[in-house]
Amino acid sequence: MQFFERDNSDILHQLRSLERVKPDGAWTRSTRAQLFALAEYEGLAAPRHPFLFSKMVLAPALVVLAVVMIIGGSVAFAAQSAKPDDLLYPVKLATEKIQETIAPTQRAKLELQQKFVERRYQELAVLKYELTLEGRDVDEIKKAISRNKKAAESLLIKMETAVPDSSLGGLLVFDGVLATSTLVASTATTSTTTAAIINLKAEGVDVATAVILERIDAQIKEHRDLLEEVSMLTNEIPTGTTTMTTATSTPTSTPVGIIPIITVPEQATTTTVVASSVTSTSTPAVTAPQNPSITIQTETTTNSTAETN
Amino acid sequence: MSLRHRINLRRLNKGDPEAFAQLFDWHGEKLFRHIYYRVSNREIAQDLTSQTFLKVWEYIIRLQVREGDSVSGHTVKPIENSTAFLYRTARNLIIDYYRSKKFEAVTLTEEMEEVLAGSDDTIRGIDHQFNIRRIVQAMSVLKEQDQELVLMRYVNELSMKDVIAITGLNENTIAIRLHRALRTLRQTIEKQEPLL
Repeated sequence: MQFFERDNSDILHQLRSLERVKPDGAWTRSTRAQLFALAEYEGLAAPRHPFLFSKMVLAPALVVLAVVMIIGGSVAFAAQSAKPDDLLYPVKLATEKIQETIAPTQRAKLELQQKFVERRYQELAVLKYELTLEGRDVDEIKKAISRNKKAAESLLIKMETAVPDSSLGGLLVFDGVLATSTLVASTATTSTTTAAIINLKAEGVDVATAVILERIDAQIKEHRDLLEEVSMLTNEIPTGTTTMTTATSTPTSTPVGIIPIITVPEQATTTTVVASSVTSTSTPAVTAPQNPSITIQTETTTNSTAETN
Repeated sequence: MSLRHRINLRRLNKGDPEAFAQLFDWHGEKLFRHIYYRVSNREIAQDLTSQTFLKVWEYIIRLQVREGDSVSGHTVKPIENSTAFLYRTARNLIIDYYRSKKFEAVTLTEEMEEVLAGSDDTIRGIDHQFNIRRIVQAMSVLKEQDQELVLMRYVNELSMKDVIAITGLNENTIAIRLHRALRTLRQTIEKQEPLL
């Protein structure tokens, strides 16, 4: 406080009484509400960066964004059917990773991981089948297998180390029943399944969680077994292109049934068909295809040739 | 500036609506009072207070889009002192208001009589009314610029730093003016007393 302020403390006291003049309470409340509403509205829409959001840049940027989203979306969509030896396979894995990351709960995450491990199975089964085919580049398949293995391993590790949290505990008993029935049906008799369901109903949610975790364990073991089997198989087959014997010697057996349902890979079958047509019509210029897309084209050609004949 | 105020300022400069609402909570009433004693009309004071906050928000939005640009000779840069920014904005609006045609000269004392007759709960006590009437009358003797200084420093109790930032005057000049203003107020009040 300055000296003149000390001398005039009574005046200062009087001046402070002016503080008692206030705006109307209603005005204060409504003004605050209006200002906040405006700020919230404009604040949310407010551009965060002077360059990125200036009007001149915004419109073209939106167009580019739309194009990227369309192309990116189509690529990601196309990638969903990519096999480990396809160019788009990394895109498929990346898409899965994003799905995993944005999963809201631990449970949702686990469910996705389960789904993706299942995919790895199918891929691996197809690769295993392809290994037995003639005219395939074993090196390429081996590379694809190692890619699949890497992807599967990282998923399995995540699943193994997943800590069951409240979201898992909140599983419906019904989910647990479904899980058990699927698990048990593949290994045990109906009576044990029923028994398991009864037990589940009696014990409730925690059991359901346990069953889910057990199922995951089983899945992990299955996948590891398949991987081992495939690596043994790849070691047996020498590197380079498998030699073509006769078209009819193509294995007719479906992949070893570790996985309950394996769809026989369509493209691989096509290869067989084409290979046999090629041999039967003895078209000299056509060799056994290595690329599925070429396979389909060749097939049409040979078919039409057959018709004209 | 306290840490709380510094954090608020940082958020404000980023266009945070909550920081803006907080600014209103801190300064709305004081700013109203400051304007009120300058324009002598409650409604106009309320209106100018709202306008002041709107102007500040406009600036914040402009800051998000055009930081570093030169707008009408001024570089758009983050607010360094929100209190000073508010009072400077209010000051410009008061000047505009005085310049506009709608301005009708009403002395603060006349308006005060009205307010006191309307009798806010806060100023109902006879002693308070007496005090306010007396000091307001004395204030009207002061030069406008000194009135502003007294209001900022002694009624709204702004820090010397803020007053310096608002007025652009140096500390000595402000101290001298305040000293003289207080002396004038004392003399005026002492002269009034025998009449009351």
